[in-house]
Amino acid sequence: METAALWAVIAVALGFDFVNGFHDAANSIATVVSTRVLRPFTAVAWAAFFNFIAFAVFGTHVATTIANDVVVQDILSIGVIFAGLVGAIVWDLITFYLGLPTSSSHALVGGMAGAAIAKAGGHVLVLDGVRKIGVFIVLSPLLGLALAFVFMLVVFWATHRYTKVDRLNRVFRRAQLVSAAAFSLGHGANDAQKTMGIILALLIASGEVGAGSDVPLWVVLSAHTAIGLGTLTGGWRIVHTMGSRITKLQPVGGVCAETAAATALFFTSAAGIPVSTTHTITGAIVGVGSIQRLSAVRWGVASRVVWAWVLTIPGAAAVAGATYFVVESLS
Amino acid sequence: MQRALFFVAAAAICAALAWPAEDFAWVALGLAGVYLMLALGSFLDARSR
Repeated sequence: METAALWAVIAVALGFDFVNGFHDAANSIATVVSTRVLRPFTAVAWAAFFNFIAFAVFGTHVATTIANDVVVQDILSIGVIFAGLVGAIVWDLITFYLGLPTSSSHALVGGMAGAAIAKAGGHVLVLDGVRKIGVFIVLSPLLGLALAFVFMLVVFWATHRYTKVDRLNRVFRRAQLVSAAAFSLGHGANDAQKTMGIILALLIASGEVGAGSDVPLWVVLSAHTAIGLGTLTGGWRIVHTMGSRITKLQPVGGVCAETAAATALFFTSAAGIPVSTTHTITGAIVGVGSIQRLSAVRWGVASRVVWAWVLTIPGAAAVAGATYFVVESLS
Repeated sequence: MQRALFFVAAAAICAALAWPAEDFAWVALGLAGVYLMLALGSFLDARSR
């Protein structure tokens, strides 16, 4: 019975990864689509491929952080992790329906925390880990913003005497293929690892692997496959918000935003910090928009996104907590 | 001038996060430094117009 429940929850975790893929696909390809460098389906396939191959480039530090540094391992059970996943998935679907680019990652952290608190109270949170994740909720968009702004400055400085504007635009349109690939690689690395962390926690909680074990290869491959398939499915509502409603992007802006976000994701993935790819690319797009003037950024949309960020952890935690009580009453 | 003030605010937020960031305080402080430089550049740019 317990083995069947374990595999069922692993399937739900991979389902979350799939949802994450189609929810966040927009982040990888919004600029490529909105600047008409690639057709939507080609862009989605391009992003899905780089999502998948990320497993060959990055380690599993983020997975370890999710498995060990959000709630104490003793409290983790199949019921807690299932409730946490339901909280994250339901929150993702609500914000997907509303077209808000919120963070699947923070929904996951909020869901795990909410279910664990519902089981045993607030003392089960690993404060150091939660604090690190909380700090980078704020730092990751600011990092993306600053890097994108600096990249734009460097590009403008390097090309301001160049008179063949059409030729320059063509170069940047093609360069977006590379920057979108880099961002998709970072997205695959950071986000697929969160699911790996959940599955690792499940395997540890059920005694299938020992505490402190590495992530098994089948978990790595299945998580990357799920996120790649999710990306292939696409998420057009959020493409619209990210690609055109925050600020209008030109190819040069797309290259700088994606390169900045990819740089931030490479750093955080290597450092084992689970950050939101959505936050990072949103900050980078704002950085690109603000190079001309702050009024180029549509702050109404940006502030709506910020409110959705603020609500994500408590919202997912509340759904997860309620789900945990339902699961407990049924078992 | 608005942009310079925005960057100063961003620098202040990053600096404030240095203490809770612990091992990653250098990221927060480095970013605060970058924002201060961007604020200075934006201020000089605005004054020159």
